[in-house]
Amino acid sequence: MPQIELCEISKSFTVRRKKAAAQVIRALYKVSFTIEEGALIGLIGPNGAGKSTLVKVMSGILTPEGGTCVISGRVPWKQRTAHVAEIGVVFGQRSQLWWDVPPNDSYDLLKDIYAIKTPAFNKRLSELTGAMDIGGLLNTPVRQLSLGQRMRCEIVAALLHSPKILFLDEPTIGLDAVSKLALRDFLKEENKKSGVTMILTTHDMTDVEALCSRVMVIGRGNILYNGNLETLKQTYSSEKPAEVIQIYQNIDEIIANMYREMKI
Amino acid sequence: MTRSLKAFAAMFKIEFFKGIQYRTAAAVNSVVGLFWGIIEIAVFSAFYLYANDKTAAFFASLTLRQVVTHVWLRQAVIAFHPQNIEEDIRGKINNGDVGVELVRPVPLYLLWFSKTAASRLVLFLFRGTIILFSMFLSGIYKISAPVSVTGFLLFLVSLVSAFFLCAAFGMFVTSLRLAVDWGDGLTYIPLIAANVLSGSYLPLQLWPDFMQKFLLYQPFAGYLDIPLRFYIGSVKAGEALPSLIAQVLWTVFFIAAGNIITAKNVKNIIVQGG
Repeated sequence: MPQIELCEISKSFTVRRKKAAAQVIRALYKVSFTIEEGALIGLIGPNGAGKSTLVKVMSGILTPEGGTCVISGRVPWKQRTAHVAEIGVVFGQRSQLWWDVPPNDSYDLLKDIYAIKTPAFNKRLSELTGAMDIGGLLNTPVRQLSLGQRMRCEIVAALLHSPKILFLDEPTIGLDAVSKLALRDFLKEENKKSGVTMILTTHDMTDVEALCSRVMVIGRGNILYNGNLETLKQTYSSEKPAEVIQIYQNIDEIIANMYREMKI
Repeated sequence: MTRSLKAFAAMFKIEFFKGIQYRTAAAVNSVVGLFWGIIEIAVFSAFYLYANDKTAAFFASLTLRQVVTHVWLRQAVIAFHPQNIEEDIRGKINNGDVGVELVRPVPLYLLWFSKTAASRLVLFLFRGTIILFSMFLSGIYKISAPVSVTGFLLFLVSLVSAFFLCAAFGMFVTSLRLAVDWGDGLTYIPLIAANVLSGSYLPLQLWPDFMQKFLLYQPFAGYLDIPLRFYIGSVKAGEALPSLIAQVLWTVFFIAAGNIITAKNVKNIIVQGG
């Protein structure tokens, strides 16, 4: 049985406009897919395609208007507290650490909130701080960390309670090359070692290339492609055989090409 | 229950660390409170000193000594009063970080109640120093001892009750904030009304006589005035138990209302823009 199962999930927003009628935006429209345990999935799509909305539905934050979603046997928005105890979420543009205090204090708080036993917590924390190389940052107030340092601390925060599923919403946004590579290595390793299912949204195609076994393309609130990256590349670069090799070097162009063809 | 206690303990810990991080600000806050108290007492003594035949009746319900003690205790207890939606929570509602709060395995109301209550309690600990200082002042400015041991014990019970009432009302206003998507404006009205009716500007017993029944049983007497009446010994015969019960009932009411409104709005929550 798949770990994540979505069937015809729909979610829309009303946007009020100046001097015009309110507009209903269908962020997701009858989205269906399944994900097996231990998979590493890349969710891509242009800005406003519905990626973040999808992640928020799966993590129990948003209640969809229609459709069913079952994750590890639970409906996220109905059994929210039980569901979120088993997932980890990283929002690249938001922080879950307490701004005024050092990460260590935030971790202590998370330990209490997730009711993690002390020995397990200590072991996990030293494991993660080692892997993410944040040992030296633990006692610096979060507001004084750089973005890359903070993001590493955020990832540790999301994994402290050993979640079974990790949602990453644009985790590499704004990171420099070194941090990005370190983060990718870490995620890959964590996926291999603990078998955590990971679902990440990103605009950085190199993230997807480096990490994901499967990509899902979202546009206009629908899943437009669901499969491996190689096939996707071939489909959207095969039209100009002479330039295949050249285009292959630039995955962003392939994706832009695909978005244009799909008219999203 | 253990979960709520744990959540609260955790929140208290982090709020306390935050308070220590900004200890200079907290110390300044207390110094301001001390000066404010001295000025208020000066004004009150002038009123009492120059009361004439007409106005004397007005001050008859409390002695100057009782008012002075009221002023000093209030400087600390006022820390419980929600002056605004808890800063952290307000920020999260306004910028969409409420999504981050919803991925915690604790009901949102409980999480925020703990946060609201914890931040107030930390402020109370810092402002408690004002009472200590006021013990060393001389003459009319000095705080009095509690009227009796029973009075002091009832004061403590009522004070704990006030703490929960304040947090419950703060959370009630927070839940209202979740229900409107056009800004903070609405929330200031109930918060300011609560401050006025709490007796933190003028002890409720100095208000006109015909309002006394209403004042005692409206929700905000429990913020401050009821516990302080036990300490200064101005509780009228037969009003001790009813006022304590009113305090608890209002707390239960605001917790229930806040819970319902929060739960309803979590379903309709919208987090846009990444």
